[in-house]
Amino acid sequence: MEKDNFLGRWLSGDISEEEKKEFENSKDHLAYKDILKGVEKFERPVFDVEKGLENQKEFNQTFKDSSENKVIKLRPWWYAAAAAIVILFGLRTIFFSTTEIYTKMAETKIWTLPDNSLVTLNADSSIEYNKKTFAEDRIIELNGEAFFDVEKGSSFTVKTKNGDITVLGTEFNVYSRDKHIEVHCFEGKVQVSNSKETVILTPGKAIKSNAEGSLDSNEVKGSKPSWMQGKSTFDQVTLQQLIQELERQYDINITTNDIDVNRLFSGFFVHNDLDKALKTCFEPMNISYVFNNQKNISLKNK
Amino acid sequence: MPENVISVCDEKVYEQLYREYAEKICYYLYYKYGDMEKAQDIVQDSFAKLWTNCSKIIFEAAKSFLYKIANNASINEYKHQKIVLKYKSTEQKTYTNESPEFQMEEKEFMHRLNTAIAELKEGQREVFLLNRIEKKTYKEIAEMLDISVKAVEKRMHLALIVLRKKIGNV
Repeated sequence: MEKDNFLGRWLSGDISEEEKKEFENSKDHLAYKDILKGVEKFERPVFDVEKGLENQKEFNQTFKDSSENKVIKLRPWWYAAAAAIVILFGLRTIFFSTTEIYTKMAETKIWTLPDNSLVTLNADSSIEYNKKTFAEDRIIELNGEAFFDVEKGSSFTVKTKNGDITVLGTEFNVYSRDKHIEVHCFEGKVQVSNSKETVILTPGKAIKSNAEGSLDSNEVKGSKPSWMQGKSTFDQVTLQQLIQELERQYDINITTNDIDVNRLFSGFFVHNDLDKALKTCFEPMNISYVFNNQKNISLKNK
Repeated sequence: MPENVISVCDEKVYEQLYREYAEKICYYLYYKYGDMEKAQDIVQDSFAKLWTNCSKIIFEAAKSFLYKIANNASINEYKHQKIVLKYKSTEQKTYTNESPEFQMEEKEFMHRLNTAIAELKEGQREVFLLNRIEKKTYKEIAEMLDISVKAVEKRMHLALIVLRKKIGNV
C-alpha cells in the first residue's frame, strides 16, 4: 500500500495475488468499493453525434476563423471599384480566354484539356493555356511538375521557362522548377529543346538538365512517374531539391541550419507518412531532425 | 489517378472524423471542466477550425489538431467550473423493502461523493472519470492526455485516496 500507484494498479487488476489478498482483508477495501459503486451510478449527459454533426455543418457555413478574418465595411465607391474589376476580368476572359489550373502544397489534380488529353499536376504546380486557340496549336505552359497523357493528333507543346517539349501523342512527365528541367518519356516520342540543344526521347528514356544547362540523358523504370504512385524518387539530386520536394508534398517548412545542401541524394520518400519520409531522407545522410511544431522542422548534423 | 492522400476537405472524411472524435473530446472537456454546454461549444469551434483549415491539415494530424484546439480554447476562455454529475438513483421499485433510512443514507452518500469529485484536482478528476464512467483503459487515457500510463495510475490512486478522505470526514 505504500506504493503511490497501488490503487490505480488494483483497479486495472495489475497486482499480484498476494497483494490482492492482503488488500481485500483490510477495512480500506470496503470503503473504496463503496465509492466505486457510487460512481457507477453517475450518468453522463447525452451527446447526440448525428444531431451534433448536422449542427456542425450549419455552423461551418457561417463560421469565420477569428484569427484570419476581419470584416471590412464597403464604402459606396468600393462597389463601383469592385464592379469595374469584375468587368475587367470579364473582358480578360473574353479576349484572352486563358485558363489557369494550379495546385497548392500537398495537393495533386487531374485536368482534362479540350482535346481530351489528361494532365496530372503534382503539388505546387500550375498550367496555363488559351481556351480559344488550344484546339489548333495545342500549346500549354507549365510551371512545376506534371504528367501528360496526350491524345494523338497534331503536335502538342509544353512550354516551360527551362525549355519546350513537343510531342505527337504520348505519355510523359515534366519537372521544371527553378533552373532544373527533367523530362521522362513513358510512351511515344518526345522532343525536348532548350536554349542549348534539342533531344528526342523514346519510351524509357529521360533527360535532366545539368549545372551548365545542357541535357544529360537517363533511363526510367515503370510506366508512370513515381509521384503518381504516392512517392517521390530521386537520382543524384541536391539536398536542396530534395528538401523543397518534401516541403511541397507535406506542406511543411524545413530549416537547414548548417547542413550542406549541395550534397547529392539518391532514393525516394513516400507521400503518406511524414515520419517515415523524413527518416528515409535524412537518416542515410547522417542528419537528425526535430519538429519545432507540426509544420516546422529543423535539421542538424549528427 | 488513385488518391494517395486522404483529404480532410472530403466531406465523407470529415464526417468520419466527427463521428470518431466529437463525442470523445466533448466528454473529455466535460470531465475536466464540468460544463457540458461549454464543452459542446468548444467541440463545435474545434471542428469548424478543422473545416476552414482542412486543406492544410493531413488526415493523420487531424486528431492531434482537434485536441490541441480544444485544449487551447478551454484554457484561454473558460474558467474551471465545479462539475455537477447527475446520477440515477437505485431503481424505483414499487414494492421496495429498503427502509426509508437506507434510501436517505444513499442519497446523502451520493451527494457527498459528488461534492468530493467536484473538489478533485482537474488532472485527477479527468483521469478518474474517464476511467470509471467512460470505461477508458489507462493506455487510452494516457494517449489522450499525452502522459504516461504510470502517471495515470498515480492519478487514479490519488483520486481514490482523496475521495475516501473527503467522504469519511463529512
